[in-house]
Amino acid sequence: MTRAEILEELKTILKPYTVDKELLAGINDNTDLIKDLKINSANLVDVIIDAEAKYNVEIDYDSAEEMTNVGSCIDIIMKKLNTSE
Amino acid sequence: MNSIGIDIVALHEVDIQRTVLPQFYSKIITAAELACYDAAAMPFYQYIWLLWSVKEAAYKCASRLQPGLLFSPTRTLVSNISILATAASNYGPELQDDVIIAQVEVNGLQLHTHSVVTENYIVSIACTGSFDEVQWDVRHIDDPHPDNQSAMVRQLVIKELQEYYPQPCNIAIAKTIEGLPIIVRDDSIVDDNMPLSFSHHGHYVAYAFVVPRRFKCLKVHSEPLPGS
Repeated sequence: MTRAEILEELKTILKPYTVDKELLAGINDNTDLIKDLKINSANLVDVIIDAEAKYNVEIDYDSAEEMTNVGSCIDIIMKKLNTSE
Repeated sequence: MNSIGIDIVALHEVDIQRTVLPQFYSKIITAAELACYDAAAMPFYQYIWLLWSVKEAAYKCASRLQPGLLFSPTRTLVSNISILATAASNYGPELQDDVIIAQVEVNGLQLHTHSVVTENYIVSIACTGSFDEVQWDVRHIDDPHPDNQSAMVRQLVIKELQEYYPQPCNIAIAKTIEGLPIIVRDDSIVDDNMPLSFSHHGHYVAYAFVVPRRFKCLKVHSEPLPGS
């Protein structure tokens, strides 16, 4: 699975927690979940749970603590996918 | 250097069914914290979000002292949770709810927190100094859009801050490079002796700032804020 494919799927995962959904069309590695997409921090665990369900992996919060921007989310997901193969 | 952090969780915004799943709450609380749950005190989902708000408030407080700190809920350890009856607290008669106190360890720093749980929200405040010096408030807002949350909480805190400046002055809220709010007076003076913190979730906004005790006598008047 490529970074571009995960980026597209992340848009679906982030959508329920993003108020201005049009912002999702332009996200890139540097997009900050809280500062740019205005996702409330209380929803960050939801994002992790939804990513776990989507990719059938386990992401503990400590390994996910750097999931602050889109690029680091993709890094963590790719790492977990490679580990589970 | 004094620091403060506040966090609010709007209970109507959380998914109660999801919160009580081990897959969810194990990302927020430790086994030791789970063992401290007292079912007689509050529903389990409220306990999870209480600990979330305590940890987030402590993280915000610590991150002003330790720039670059990352939020790690399961490495932010809460202990000694107890109830401080309102009558014994310094919040005065206007606060009807009990204050829950806790101790938090975040990246080697020991902090104390005060939390209030209502049917609508849970708010927690962490500070390095005395809670006697903390000014805080929670308000309901009609429009929960993030831009409005941000604008409203700034409007409220600026109005309150103006009470502490005997001379008319222009108060603005700027952000440090780490994204922490700071008070800027008359376009140039940074009042970093009054650290402040914001939080918003859904229809609720909250702020807290430290008023050094010597400044409290400067408060010139105490009209209620709009909506109070």
